[in-house]
Amino acid sequence: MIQLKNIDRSYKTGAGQTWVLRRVNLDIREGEFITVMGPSGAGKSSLLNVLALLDDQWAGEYWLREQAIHSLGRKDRAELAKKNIGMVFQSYHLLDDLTVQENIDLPLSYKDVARRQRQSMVADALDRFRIVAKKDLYPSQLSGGQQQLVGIARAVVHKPALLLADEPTGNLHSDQAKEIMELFRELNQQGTTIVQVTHSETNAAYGSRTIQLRDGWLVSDTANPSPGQPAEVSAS
Amino acid sequence: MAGFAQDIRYAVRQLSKAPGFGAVAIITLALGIGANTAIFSLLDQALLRNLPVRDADRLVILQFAGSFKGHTSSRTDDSFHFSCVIAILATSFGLLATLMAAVGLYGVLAYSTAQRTREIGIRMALGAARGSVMRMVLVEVLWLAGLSLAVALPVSLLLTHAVRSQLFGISSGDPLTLAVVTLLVASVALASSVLPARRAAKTDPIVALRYE
Repeated sequence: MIQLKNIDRSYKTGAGQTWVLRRVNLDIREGEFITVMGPSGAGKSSLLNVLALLDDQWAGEYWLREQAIHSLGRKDRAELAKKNIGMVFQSYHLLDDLTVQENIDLPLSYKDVARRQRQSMVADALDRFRIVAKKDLYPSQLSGGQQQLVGIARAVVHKPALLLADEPTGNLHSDQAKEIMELFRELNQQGTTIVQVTHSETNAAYGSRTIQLRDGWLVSDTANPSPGQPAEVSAS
Repeated sequence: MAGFAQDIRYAVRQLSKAPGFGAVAIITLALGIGANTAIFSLLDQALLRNLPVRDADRLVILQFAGSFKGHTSSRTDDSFHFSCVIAILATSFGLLATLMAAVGLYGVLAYSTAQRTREIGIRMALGAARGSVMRMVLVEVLWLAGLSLAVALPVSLLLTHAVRSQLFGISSGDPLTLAVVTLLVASVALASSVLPARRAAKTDPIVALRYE
């Protein structure tokens, strides 16, 4: 489903460059549940931003469902992302001035979906996540777990093929976190490919594959015993 | 169309969230519109329109001067030139006030959109195109301008009524004058909002999502 080949990402810092991703090679098959782990600054969120097509300053090759993302323009990438990708954030990132229903509807409003169809899809999502009673509430009136539930509903309302989650349970306590991870498992069993970034071994156990990043290098992959040794790491 | 309606709904909600700011912005714009209407009426009457009489160049102004026992003086060109000077001065002040209002509006909008960096980043991460973000900002400004115009109408009538003694051949509620001023204010509001809207549309969602 996804192929990353020699993905590099760096930022200019003073006279030099800081590398956040270095020659990352990764194949993701449909239906996988992948966990990305590593210490802070390893490049986990940067990798997720590349996968989500939020970042376009990387070098290398990125294939998504046989489409060569690296040769597409900004607008085409945005269209592909809208269609295929949903994202869940650690801080939920709900819009405070929109109700639960409007937050879930937001990605659909940018997809030129007919109004009636949108209403139907939002109603399905509310029902599926059992938050119908909360549809007219604002995020500030919900608990953290409920807000994340709305975040997940918003991410999957358009039935994306790929769900990316950046520390989805980072701001939740363990009971809420378990509920969210069970939900991810259920979504994965229904066919959604999931890539999550987490520090938690408990959360990682829900996945079928774990990859480790360190200093921008992909150092281990449970599905691939030899992901490629990193080149000399220069001291910075 | 549905997107536009959604933007209007959101603009209303944003204004209700900060009613003080909304009220000040609307009243300021309304006063500006009203004052400019009165000023443009003067300008229109003094410089743009012909007097609605035959042989207007033979018109004289008789003014009472001195004691009650019948001293009179007549002045023609001097008084008319004086009216032109007043109109030009008033127009200059009006233009200056409009420019200051435009700069003020730009400043307020720039601040307001900067405050919404996180929100804009979220919208873009969820699929909002740059055009949608620009439209959202511009619709809010148009909504504000629309509300201001609704308040400005009675203000305009009041202020032009106050200067009616200087008006000849033109009513204080002249529709053409109101239309011209409405267009001017809407143009100024839009022009002030273009730069902040473009800046908002260039938001990097990755940077914005880290903005707390």
